[in-house]
Amino acid sequence: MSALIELKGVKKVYVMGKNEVHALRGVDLAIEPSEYLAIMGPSGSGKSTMLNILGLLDLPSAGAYLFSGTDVTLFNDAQLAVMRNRKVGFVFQTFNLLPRTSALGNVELPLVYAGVGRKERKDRAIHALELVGLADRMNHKPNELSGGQRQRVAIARALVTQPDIVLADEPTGNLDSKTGDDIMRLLDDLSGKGNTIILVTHESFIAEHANRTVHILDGLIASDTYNKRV
Amino acid sequence: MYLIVESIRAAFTSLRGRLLRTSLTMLSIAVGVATIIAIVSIMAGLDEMVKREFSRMGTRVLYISRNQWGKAFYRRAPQIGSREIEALQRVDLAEYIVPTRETWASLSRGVKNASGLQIVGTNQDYHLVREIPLESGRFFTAYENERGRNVCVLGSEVYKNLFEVGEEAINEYVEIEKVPFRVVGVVEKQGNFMTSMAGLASDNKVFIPILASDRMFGRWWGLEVLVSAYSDDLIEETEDECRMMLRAARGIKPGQEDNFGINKQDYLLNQFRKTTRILWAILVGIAGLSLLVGGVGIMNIMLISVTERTREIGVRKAIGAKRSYILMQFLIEALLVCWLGGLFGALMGIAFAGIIALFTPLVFVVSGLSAILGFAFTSATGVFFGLYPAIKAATKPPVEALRFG
Repeated sequence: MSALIELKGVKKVYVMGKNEVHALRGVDLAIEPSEYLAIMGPSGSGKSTMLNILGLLDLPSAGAYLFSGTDVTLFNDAQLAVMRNRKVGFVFQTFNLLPRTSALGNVELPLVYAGVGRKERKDRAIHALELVGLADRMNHKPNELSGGQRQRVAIARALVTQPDIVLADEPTGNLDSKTGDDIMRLLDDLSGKGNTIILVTHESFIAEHANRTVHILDGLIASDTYNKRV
Repeated sequence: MYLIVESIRAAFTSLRGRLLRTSLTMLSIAVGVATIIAIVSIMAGLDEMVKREFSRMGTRVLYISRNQWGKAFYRRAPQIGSREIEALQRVDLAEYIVPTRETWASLSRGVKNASGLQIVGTNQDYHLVREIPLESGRFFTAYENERGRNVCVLGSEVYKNLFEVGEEAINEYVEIEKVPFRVVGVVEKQGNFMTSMAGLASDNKVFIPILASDRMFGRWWGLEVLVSAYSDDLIEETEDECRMMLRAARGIKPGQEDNFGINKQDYLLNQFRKTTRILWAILVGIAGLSLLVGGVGIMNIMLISVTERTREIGVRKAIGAKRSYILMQFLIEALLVCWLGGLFGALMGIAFAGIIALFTPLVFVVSGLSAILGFAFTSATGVFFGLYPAIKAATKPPVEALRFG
């Protein structure tokens, strides 16, 4: 099977005033379709940078990033936006829902940018909300939902465009352990249905849900191991 | 296209969420627009009023005198006299030929008197040419004119000064410089304070047969002859014919310039417009300043909004919003504030102009021009002052925007 995502010698350098910060120092990584991958590392290790690059929010300073065989480092801003829209689904630690918009409206938003018509948009958004078990709350605003429910809305939003990868950045970081477990079970479930999920976390018990764990340290991959479930 | 619709919906949602701030910004735009609309309306009203007043002089009337209005007297130009009248009587296109000679004098009646009045010596056709409506009585007749009878027609102000309210003036006698004249008619009130002052309206005038005037005051001043054309369309041709006849009568050789003037009311109107053009520009400029202030307010609010919503911008970008969409979203928000404020301001401005027109002689004019102007100005303000914050929002790198706050 050919890799869905391939990083080749990816480096990222930030210039902070006179200092150069080498966040990534040459990372090679291949991710197959339907993989459930966890990226771990302490703060400052470069895992956030890695996430930004994987999510096409940022481009590497050097190296190649092949997405389905295409080098996206050559893409311009608009092309990257389209890629983020169609190929990547984001789940953030702080949910990042639009506050004055209903759950349904939030889930519809990626489809708005994708140019999907109103009727189809609504159908697909409702379907995505059903998938995360929140169809009955679709007209609630985020502040009328619990933390777990908000994260479910965010996951629905990430899934609604049927992306190639789902990027989850500390998805349980702002939740209590019980709710966190629910969310992780939902992600496990989605992985079971064939979604490619990339999890970024610094908690090993969260990383254990994945079937492959990549440790990042000082901008380099320190270890890349397959979990027992594989 | 439907992205625009979505942007407008998003803008409404966002503006509703900041109601107080949005209304205050709208108010500042509204004040600017109201000022512009009010000024344009008032100026248009003034223009319309003046146009109407000048048109009372007759849009088909030529005023033939010793000089061209607005120019110095022609050198050694002879007075207009009976020779010129005779020449003009040969003009086929002329409907009426009305000589006038004006002077100033005092009137009295018993203990009442009025001074500094314009005495217009003219013939029986004057009121037809100048379209002067009579309140009571009649204008003097051709017979009275030819005999130089001591009869007079009073302007409404003159009547008010010499008679009690409602008192019958017809067949009463008034004295012009101690000479008794019989009143045969009173003119309807015509002008307002401005036109009376400018001597355009007949309210402060007394009309008498020209022979009576010549007998009393002599012929020191030349005549001004009013020639009316049969219609507005014929005025140019009538003017040409008059010029031809006058030149022939005076023996002016081809190539030599006229030594008389043929004038029309539109000269005065254009003169007025020329002088008020600068006033227009200044007033609109001042109004534009207030809109500028409103625009700066918009920019300020939008900049604050962009900063506050940095994270939202990041999220939108992460899920696939292109720069152009973010740009459009913020631009539409700014435009919406401007348009809503502008609409409100336009209503205020029109209401204000209406109130002004109610209490002054100005004509109430709501011109399409001011509506278009208002719309154009507010749109320009929205785009001009909304663009920078919108660009700022659109070009935020998504990573930094997501990290914010």
